[in-house]
Amino acid sequence: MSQKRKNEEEMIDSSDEEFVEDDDIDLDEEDVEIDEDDIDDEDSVLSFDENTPVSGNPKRARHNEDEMFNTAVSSTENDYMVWDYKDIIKKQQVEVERVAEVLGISNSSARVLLRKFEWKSENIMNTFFEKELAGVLKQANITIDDIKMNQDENENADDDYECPLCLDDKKISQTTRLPCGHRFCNDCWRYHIELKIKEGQSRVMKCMAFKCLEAIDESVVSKIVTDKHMRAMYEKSIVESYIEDNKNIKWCTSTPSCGNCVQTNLPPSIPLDIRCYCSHEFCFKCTNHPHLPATCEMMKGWLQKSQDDSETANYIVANTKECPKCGKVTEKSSGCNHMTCICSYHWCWLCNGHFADYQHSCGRYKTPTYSIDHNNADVKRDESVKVSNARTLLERYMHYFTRYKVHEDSRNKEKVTRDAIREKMKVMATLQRNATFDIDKIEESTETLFRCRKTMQYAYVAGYYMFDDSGQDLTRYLVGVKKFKGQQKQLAQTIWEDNVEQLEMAVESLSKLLESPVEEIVQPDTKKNIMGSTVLVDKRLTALYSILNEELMEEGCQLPKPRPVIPRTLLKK
Amino acid sequence: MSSLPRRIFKETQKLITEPPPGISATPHEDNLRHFKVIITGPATSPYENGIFNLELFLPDNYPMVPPKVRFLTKIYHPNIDRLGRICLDILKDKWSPALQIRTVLLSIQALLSSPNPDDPLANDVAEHWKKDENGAIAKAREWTQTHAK
Repeated sequence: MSQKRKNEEEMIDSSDEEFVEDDDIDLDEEDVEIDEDDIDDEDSVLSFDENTPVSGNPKRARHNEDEMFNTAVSSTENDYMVWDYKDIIKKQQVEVERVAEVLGISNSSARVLLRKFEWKSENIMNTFFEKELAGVLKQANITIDDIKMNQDENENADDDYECPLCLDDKKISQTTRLPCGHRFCNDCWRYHIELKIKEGQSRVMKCMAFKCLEAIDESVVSKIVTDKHMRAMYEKSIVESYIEDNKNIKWCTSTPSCGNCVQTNLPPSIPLDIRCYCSHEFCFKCTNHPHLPATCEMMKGWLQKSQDDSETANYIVANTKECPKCGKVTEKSSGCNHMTCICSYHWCWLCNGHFADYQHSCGRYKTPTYSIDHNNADVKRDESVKVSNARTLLERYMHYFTRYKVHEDSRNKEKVTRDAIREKMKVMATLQRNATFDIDKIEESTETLFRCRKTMQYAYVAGYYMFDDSGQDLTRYLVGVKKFKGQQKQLAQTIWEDNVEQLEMAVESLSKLLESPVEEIVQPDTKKNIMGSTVLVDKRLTALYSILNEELMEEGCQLPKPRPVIPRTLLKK
Repeated sequence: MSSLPRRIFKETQKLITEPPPGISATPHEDNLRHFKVIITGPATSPYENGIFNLELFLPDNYPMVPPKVRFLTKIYHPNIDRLGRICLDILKDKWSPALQIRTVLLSIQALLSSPNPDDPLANDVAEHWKKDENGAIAKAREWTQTHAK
């Protein structure tokens, strides 16, 4: 055992005795924090159903503007936030008003500006301070006098005007002139704008004149488009543009869509486990199923590989052996155990030995001698044949794949256990006064268990890619991972595997505790054990992530540790 | 076709009464949105003396969307493919409802005078044009003689 690990062991051991108390204090503090933060408006905002837990990690969006910005900016403790449609409209409105105020233009012009600048208000502000209003408007193709729209002093509303598009005779009052000077009749404008909205191109609506780039202002749109349905589509496209242009915000990927979106507080290039309020989970970066601590690139390779290979690989491992001489993969097709390889070597399926004289026998039990190459004692292996390499690769892959699968299965089974516990706890709650508190604690423990199971599941994917020494080219899957050489790699692998092992052991003991009968769980001792075990598991998880980020990942590619998920019921207090 | 928009009616009328030089466009009797177009090859171009047949169709959303035009006569040109489809910006993203059938046809005529092998539709032709301009022009002239009589 390395010194490092030993120390850690001691540290954990000593904390083992105390952490139950610590834990209580910690959790109490957490409760208080939640009370302050979330309780005020939770009744009006939160519409959770009681049974499914919700992530305590994302901050719920506020409808109070000031507070909203505070959360958006200062919430360092949250990796992401979940917003619903109304929140987005509100957020957007705040931004529009801010730009309108600073630049001294109308809200509708500010909206056009923001869309042109892909909702990057800092860019607008920067351009504004460098090149003043004229520069900003020029960049967005808005003519300066867009604020004093339409009417020319010397034109009379009753004058006749032939629309250059439909060539119909109209009154001036039935036409609209853009600030660029081009005037067309309202019918043509409507046709044009509605077509663009229908085509989903309302973001880049320009003047109809040839080669004119003037943007159509929103005030024109709202004057021209009267159809309710069209207006709704237009409004929706503006909101959507806000999400689609903003790299830090993404739609929740649930199907059918829940309509919520998620804003990350980390750089959008970092994979992040998201749980939306609809309880759908995904990775912010690749939008697939969350997969930390493996990276998106690893997952891409892994899923591809497991789709392509796993069945074949399983079959090969289970049903074939290699010829002891040439290494060809061999499948036994009949009852006879005397194998004749195409390399003309005769061997025994049972012991892999040479089947020389048709009198081969290996039925007697011999105590294994534990010699290193007991397999090949009687035959020199043909070293030039590389086939055995394929088997080593396969076996390595199967090692990781099996563990990956097992943790996934455990997670699914534990879901059932959790539901069972929950049911029973509900019954308990009716009998015992203090029970809700217990339920919350148990909930929290199961959530932690899930989180760690998932981490372990994907830790094997990460391990498979990070410590490969077979010489296959895996560089494209190793984006953001440090490049190791020789000894260094070995060392890193040992540290990583030690930590995974530690986590694994902690998780298994928590898992066992949670599987105890409910009557036992409610016993004070078991309860304490569970809470203690939960804290330990979480500590191990933290340790695993800090090893990952300090030793294995490159600077700037650090992966965020999935945060505790606080049950909904806890928020309801 | 129940009612033809006033704009299409007026455009057609003007195309017939004052046709642009070297261009004629007449609507089919059974569908007034479907035009038979003839463009004569511009002088000093390899298409000189050629008579090129095209068809032009005005979709329902015209003039909000561009007309559909294609060559019916075979032509050796880097911006026109073997199906007669034309690569011209105003027929695609640069379309403006302020443009008309007349302007579109004049632009196509201009395209015959100045082929643009850097923005090709028929890759092999454009390649030929860039490598051996004289040879390509000769071939275009030859095709005009055989196909565009």
